[in-house]
Amino acid sequence: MKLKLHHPLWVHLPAVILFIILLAIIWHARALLGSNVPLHFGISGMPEKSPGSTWEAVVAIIVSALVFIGISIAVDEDWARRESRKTFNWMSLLDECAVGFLAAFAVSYFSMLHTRIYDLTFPWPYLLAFCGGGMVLAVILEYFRPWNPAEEAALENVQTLAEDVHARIASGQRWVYTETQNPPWLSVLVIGVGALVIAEAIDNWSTKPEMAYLLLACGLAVFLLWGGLGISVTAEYVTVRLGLVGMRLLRMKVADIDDACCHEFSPLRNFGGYGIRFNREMTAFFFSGNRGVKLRAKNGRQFLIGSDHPERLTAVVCEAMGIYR
Amino acid sequence: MAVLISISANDPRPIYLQIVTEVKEQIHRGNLHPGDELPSVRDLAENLGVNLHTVHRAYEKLRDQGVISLRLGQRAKVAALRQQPASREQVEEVLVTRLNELITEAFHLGLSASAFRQLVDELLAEKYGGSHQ
Repeated sequence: MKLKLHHPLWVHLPAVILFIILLAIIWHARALLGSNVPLHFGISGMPEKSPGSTWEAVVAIIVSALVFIGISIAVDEDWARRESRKTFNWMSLLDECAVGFLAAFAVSYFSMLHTRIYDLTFPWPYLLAFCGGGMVLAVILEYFRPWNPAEEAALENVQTLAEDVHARIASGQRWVYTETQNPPWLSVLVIGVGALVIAEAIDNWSTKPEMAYLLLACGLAVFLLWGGLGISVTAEYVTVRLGLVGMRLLRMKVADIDDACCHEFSPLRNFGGYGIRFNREMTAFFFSGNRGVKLRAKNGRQFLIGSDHPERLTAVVCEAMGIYR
Repeated sequence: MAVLISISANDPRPIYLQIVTEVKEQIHRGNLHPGDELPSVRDLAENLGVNLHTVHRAYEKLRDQGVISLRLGQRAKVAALRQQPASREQVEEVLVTRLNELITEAFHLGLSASAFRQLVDELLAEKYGGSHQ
């Protein structure tokens, strides 16, 4: 099966260039590989813990860079597939920002190792050069990125679904409408971050068991996100669950809903990113796209549920509420 | 993925069979595609107000029929659609017995063979928009 990409891969070219620069920096410092050096630094820049092998730092840097590039590709593709018109995707700068940051710190770190004066300074000039340069280039590429409309981005005609739900309610059936939001980047993030944290826990196992237990718990907690967001609507409740164990984030009685409508938003501008988010107006749950359903409760509270099919979800909630639109 | 599943207390069929039929119907209508995830067993059981084992049995039946795939730690996923028609034995097992029952029912309802055939044609035309040849 041929995978059709809606977001061109060349938009990630600045991140790939930065990654190659990062590899070149590591190659340049190859004489230091294998030696025991400080790996953890405090806010003052001084080493905090017992030294470790340089390989640990190198593997962590390379894996982190690849994880961020992978996440960025997945997020941007997901964004592009949902665009109903060309919109500037600020999330596309994620990989340039992250890989530039890693490259800048790699320069600073290996320079410090060369001088053997273990005082890590914040690498402002390199950050400006790598992050700044990469992001400027990424902004230009994102601006000129072509828009390939996806079929699913078109507004959906949900009349048939609304009639179907209406008929089921009228005939007294028990029914449930379910949706999931489980974008590929979430799986990449869960595996990438979870594996890194657990690897760090194993590393600390013999020296600092308390820290190892804590890290292991955090790593396993990350894996609980596996499976994404599950949304279900019945005649009585709208429920939002999270992850593998189905942790309940929201359970709202249909009778308590005052209004439900489709809502378009900017994940970064309105909420600062994806996930479980809050702003002054509402609590939001979303893992992909920029559309969802806004529920206003009778007590005035508002909730935003991210949805891949907001028209369908709105129609179903409205039918459950007894509003026929 | 978005799916609508319902069960009816007035339906004489067992609940697990109703769920099986609903999932198949959603795939047939194009609401579910290969690779789409189905709700978890616990979610569906809780929302429909039925026992976990009932939903699990329905999913197992769907898996045995090759409609969905089940993997440990993952939600059930709609399997790839069959590329080739089923073998004669599978058709016999799934369809022929039930068709024979329906033919008998049609006889007792007073339908002639041609009237029964016409009814089947009408239903097929409704499902496939007249292009079921």
